[in-house]
Amino acid sequence: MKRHGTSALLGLALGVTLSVVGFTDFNAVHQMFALQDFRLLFTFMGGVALLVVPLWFMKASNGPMALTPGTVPGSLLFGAGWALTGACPGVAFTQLGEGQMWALVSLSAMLVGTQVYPVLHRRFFRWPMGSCGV
Amino acid sequence: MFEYVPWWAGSLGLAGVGVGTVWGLGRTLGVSGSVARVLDWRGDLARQKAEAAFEAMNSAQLRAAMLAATAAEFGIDAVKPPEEPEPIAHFEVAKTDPWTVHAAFLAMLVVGGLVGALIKGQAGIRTTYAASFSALFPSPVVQFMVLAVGGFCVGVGTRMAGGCTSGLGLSGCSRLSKAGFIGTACFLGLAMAFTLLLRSVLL
Repeated sequence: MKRHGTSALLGLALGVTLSVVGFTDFNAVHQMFALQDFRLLFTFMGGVALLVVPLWFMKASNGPMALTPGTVPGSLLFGAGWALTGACPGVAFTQLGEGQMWALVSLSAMLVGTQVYPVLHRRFFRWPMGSCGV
Repeated sequence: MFEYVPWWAGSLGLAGVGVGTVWGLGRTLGVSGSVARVLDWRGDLARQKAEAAFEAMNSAQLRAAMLAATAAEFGIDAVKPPEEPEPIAHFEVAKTDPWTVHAAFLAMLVVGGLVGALIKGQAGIRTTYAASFSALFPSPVVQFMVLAVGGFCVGVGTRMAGGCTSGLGLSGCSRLSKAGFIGTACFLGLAMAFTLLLRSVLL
């Protein structure tokens, strides 16, 4: 149960952060992608920069993060979807919590896509399905 | 009108969650991975069951084999059961969290959105689209289709790539992972190029 509590607290912290910095705002995300406002890009890059030293000290690793033949096409597909919906996976959940009702459509479709991919993978691809973070 | 917190405050929040995940859970942050784990809850239960069965069978077999070998070497008297049975040593299998830990994370992401909306003074049901979204896609049917197709691409793409903004981006780039850098360059680069293309064609 302790891990459930820790996990829940981290989810809450991430949700509040995404919400109050504007990552759940389609306009703000769209302005970043349209190269009109780099605020959220700085937020993201700042987060990466702040994590370098602590993660190095903590030797954070779930084994090496795998570069697979799916990394490039998968990321491109994700980028297209993010540009259209303004929602990366975490943001879709948080948008729903903010009361943005149309997030129901993008979130449901995202869950369907997540379920469909392993089926496609087994049918068409041969490389091992890597996953970071779990 | 709510002013968003400064960009660096958001960076601190993201980094805090990234460090907290490694510190508190012993793994790196990855939202799309958590989503996949929750959706695969049946597989998760089956794995837990199989692991438990494997461990039980293995230690019992090990014990029986050791008893038989001892009896063969030193005679049957040597293997009389001790008064207090010793705890059976078992192999440490690298454990991953059950799906419910990931479900708690995702559920609280939703709650975090509610808390954020309350902080921003925007709590409540909103059915209107963002202005820049409606400007690109004025027709309701097209709006629905765009969100459905886009969301589907996010789901398929993140699984194919093995991560999203948090896993490949935050956790990957900060650990100087090649997959993290390449993945992040691809999704950010394409999102920018695609957005610029959409704006030049549709606006």
